[in-house]
Amino acid sequence: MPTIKINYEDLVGLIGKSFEPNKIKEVLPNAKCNVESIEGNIWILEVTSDRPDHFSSEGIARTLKGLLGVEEGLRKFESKISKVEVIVDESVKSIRPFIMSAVIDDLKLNDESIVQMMQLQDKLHDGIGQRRKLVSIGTYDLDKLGRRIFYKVMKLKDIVFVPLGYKTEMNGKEILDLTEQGKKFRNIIPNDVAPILEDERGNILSMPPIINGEQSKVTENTKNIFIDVTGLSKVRVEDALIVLSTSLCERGGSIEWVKVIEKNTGNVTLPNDKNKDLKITSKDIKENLGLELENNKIIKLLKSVRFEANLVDDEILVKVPIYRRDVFSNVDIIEDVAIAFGYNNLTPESFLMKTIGKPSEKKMLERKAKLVMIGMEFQEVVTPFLCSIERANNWNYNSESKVIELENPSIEGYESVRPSLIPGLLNSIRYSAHASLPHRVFEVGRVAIVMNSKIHEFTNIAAAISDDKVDLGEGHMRLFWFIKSMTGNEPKLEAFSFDKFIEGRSARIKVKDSLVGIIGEVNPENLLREGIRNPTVVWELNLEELLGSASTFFK
Amino acid sequence: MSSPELSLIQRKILNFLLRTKEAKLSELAKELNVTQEGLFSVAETLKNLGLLKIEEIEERFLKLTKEGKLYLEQGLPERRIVNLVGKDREIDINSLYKLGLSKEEIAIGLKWIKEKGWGYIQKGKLIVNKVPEIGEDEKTIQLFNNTESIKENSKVEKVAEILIRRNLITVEVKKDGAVQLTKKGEEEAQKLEKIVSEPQEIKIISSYDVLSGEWKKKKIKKYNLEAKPRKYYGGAFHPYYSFEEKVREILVGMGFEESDGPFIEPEFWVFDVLFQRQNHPARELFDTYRLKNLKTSLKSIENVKIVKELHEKTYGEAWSEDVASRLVLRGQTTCVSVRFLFERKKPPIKMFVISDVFRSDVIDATHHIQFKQIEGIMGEYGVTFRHLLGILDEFYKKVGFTEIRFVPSYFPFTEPSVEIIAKHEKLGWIEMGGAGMFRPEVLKAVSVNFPVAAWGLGFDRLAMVALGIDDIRKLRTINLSELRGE
Repeated sequence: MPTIKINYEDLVGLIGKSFEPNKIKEVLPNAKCNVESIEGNIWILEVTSDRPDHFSSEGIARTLKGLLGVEEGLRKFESKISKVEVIVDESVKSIRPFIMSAVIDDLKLNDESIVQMMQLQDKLHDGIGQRRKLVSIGTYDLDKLGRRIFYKVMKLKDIVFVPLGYKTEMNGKEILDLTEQGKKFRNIIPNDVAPILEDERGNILSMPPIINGEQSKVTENTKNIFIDVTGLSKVRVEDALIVLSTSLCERGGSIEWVKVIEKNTGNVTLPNDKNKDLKITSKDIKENLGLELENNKIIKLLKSVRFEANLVDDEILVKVPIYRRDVFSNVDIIEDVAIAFGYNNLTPESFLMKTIGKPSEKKMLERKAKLVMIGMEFQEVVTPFLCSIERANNWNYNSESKVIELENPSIEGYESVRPSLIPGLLNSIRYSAHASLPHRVFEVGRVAIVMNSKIHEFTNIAAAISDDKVDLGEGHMRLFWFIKSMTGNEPKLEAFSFDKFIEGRSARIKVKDSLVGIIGEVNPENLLREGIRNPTVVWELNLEELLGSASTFFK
Repeated sequence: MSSPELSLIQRKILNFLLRTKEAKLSELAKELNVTQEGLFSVAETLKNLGLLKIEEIEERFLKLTKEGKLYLEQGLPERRIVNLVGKDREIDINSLYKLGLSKEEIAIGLKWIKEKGWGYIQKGKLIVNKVPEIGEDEKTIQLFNNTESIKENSKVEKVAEILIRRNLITVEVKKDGAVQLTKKGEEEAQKLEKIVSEPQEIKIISSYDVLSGEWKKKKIKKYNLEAKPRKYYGGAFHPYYSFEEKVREILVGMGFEESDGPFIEPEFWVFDVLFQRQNHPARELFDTYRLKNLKTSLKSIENVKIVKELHEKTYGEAWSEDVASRLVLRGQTTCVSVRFLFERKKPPIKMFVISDVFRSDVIDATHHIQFKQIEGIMGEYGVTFRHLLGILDEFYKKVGFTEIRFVPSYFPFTEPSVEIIAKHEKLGWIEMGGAGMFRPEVLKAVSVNFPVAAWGLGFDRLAMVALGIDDIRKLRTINLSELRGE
């Protein structure tokens, strides 16, 4: 979930009424904002990804106003159609097809509001924008621009302007090569061309999604802001534009939607700023929340979470504010009713249901296996499902299987899925170097491999004995007892050589004609490589193969 | 193999054999003053240790029957009759009675006289050719003059057979064993030779002591009750699993049945069915582990089309089956819940999972890449959000928390969504996990038409609190010293 930084004084200023920090802290969870830390006036909040309108203090203040009773009901936004126009060239179609735009008039900006605006842009870029790939936003001082803005694609070498934060002109290629943003986001656009915004005077405003121009940057003296949102998803472009515009308006100012005109066809598009209408009934509330509420009470609750709500023929007609991009159906409104009512005012209730509780058969068989091992004085260990590629390949003893690797490992030593439990047991013995001998450990756990280009996930059991003197016989007798007590059958050993074992001291384990595992004395060279000083014998069995289908849920 | 310490009697056997090279168990028993039966099992143990060779021997002993004993004293009936015949070599059969022989003895005697060819009967008279020499059978009976039993040998075998048939002799079979040291046993015996002497005060009573009654003669040292026991570590469950069992027991007791699914899943079950929008940060590589170059086919899954429609309709963006078929390590166990619902489809449903999930992360005191979740669903017509809170309340009270609170939260697959925080005496309020009512889109995706309450709670956090561990890495320790409390 995203974390954002707000200024308490600024927040209270936006709410328009003074509240103690404790009061604010008390209601923030009902806006799904979690206070992570507080340092002076700076509050770090964890917000939820479904509410991009909470990515800056303006939107949070708007929600809190309702929860604190300062201002309830629907926040309406007066809007006009701007005189500014965006003309879209066909060349953007295959590169970054969508653009939407707005102008915010008569703003009074200060340092904090610019910080919040930048934060909101950043969080929108990261979240719904997928780090600018799907959506990117530019803001400009409108008074430094012409009124006709062209959105088109140009060759990199022909794009020349002073990028934001720089003093000299650069061409498109230099911007990609030399600026930080260029290096970071260049993979989103092609190699040789880039989309740009240019006004009728031929000034290049920006090169979305990479960087804006220095010339038209927003400062605290800016009165009117021009916003462009470009991207690959029309829905997300609209989401971002509406969230940003409505947030900026919380500091005074009004919205003008900008016509986006297709150059070829003359088709005009504007953002949809109509409030979504939904209908709910008190029956819906009862069915979902188990709460019987009068219509009036529901309407009152809805208003406190900033919906418009009116009773029309026994149904409540709800108007959803346009910045609420997370409301898809009735349940989304019902949750807000529950929040307004207070989750902790909802008394927990029990539901009588005729069911029979039972542990899974598989887990019970695993438990039985564990008990047999414990009876033989083995200690259970629990080791990770992931291990290093080297270990995985070392212990992938089935010649037909391949090791599964992660595309995106996050830590060295955990790059692949274990094909065997043995490396984990050896690791345990290595980490137990100071524990008195003998070391008898076992694990029941999952392994996975690729066989015939299909994923196979198994539950295995493996055991290791490491002692001053230990041989295959020590392992063999316990293996024999384990299989005998689990299945009633007696295992047979079959010659098997594997380079991690001593030649002539390893075998495949066979029970009634099916191969169920392996056993061996670990090759001393390999022991030393694993950091183990005592002779060690290991065995591993596929529990599902051994016990039959009852132990599996993989089809 | 490490050779276990040998008992006194075992050492004595080795010692004896070192001198005699070979011996019978019966001899050994006599020598060591123990019963042969007791000795047999001791020898068997030595044999299993590879120190002895035992060859089983069966010996047959002959013994006189009651009748045989009588004839040893009086002679065989045929001999007695022949001895009574006078010089004229004939005798009236009826007169034999007068001479003190019983009817049976006369009958047996006459039968054998005929059989042995000593004489014949003519007109009521027995006619004997000459006084016959003492036969082998008679000599054999005489052998029992000084002894109770005779070992059967080739010399007596043939005669014995007749005597056995005449029921004068019976055979008794005795088992014995010829024992001999193996090469290993010889080495061991040589090593031990010096230390066969018996201690005056004994710490350990050996099986020899028990069998021979020697223990009564010895002074047994008192055990020092103050002494620390010798180091010993038995087998045990891992505490992490023990706690899992405890949670399982609580949930089973609350009427839930257990399920689980694969760790490796297509994104379809992990995200798409759960209404997680494609191209969402949560689906990004920095959160979820994805498998390299591996995909699966969703062809056999019947609800793919429904999911595609739901996504495209609600989110207004194209839904990609290709993205949904990428394979990941599941980041939550909710995929098990939706799979379960899709399979079961009919209420009432109360299901739980305690199993592993994976997040691309770092490993430190508070983060791990693998941990467990306690997942649960409750589905039935009439189930509401308040029932969900009721189940959570009951569960945490059973686990041992007296106070829990519910905080609004967000999950793409539930609405309303709630986060549970519980009060701990020392640690204060702790985040426990998330819950909610499955969204209608999720229920549609698995073809279910009744409400389903769902939750996914942190197992590791709970285990840490219960086990008093403050570093998540210690929760799954693999160090035997720590596990044994050494």
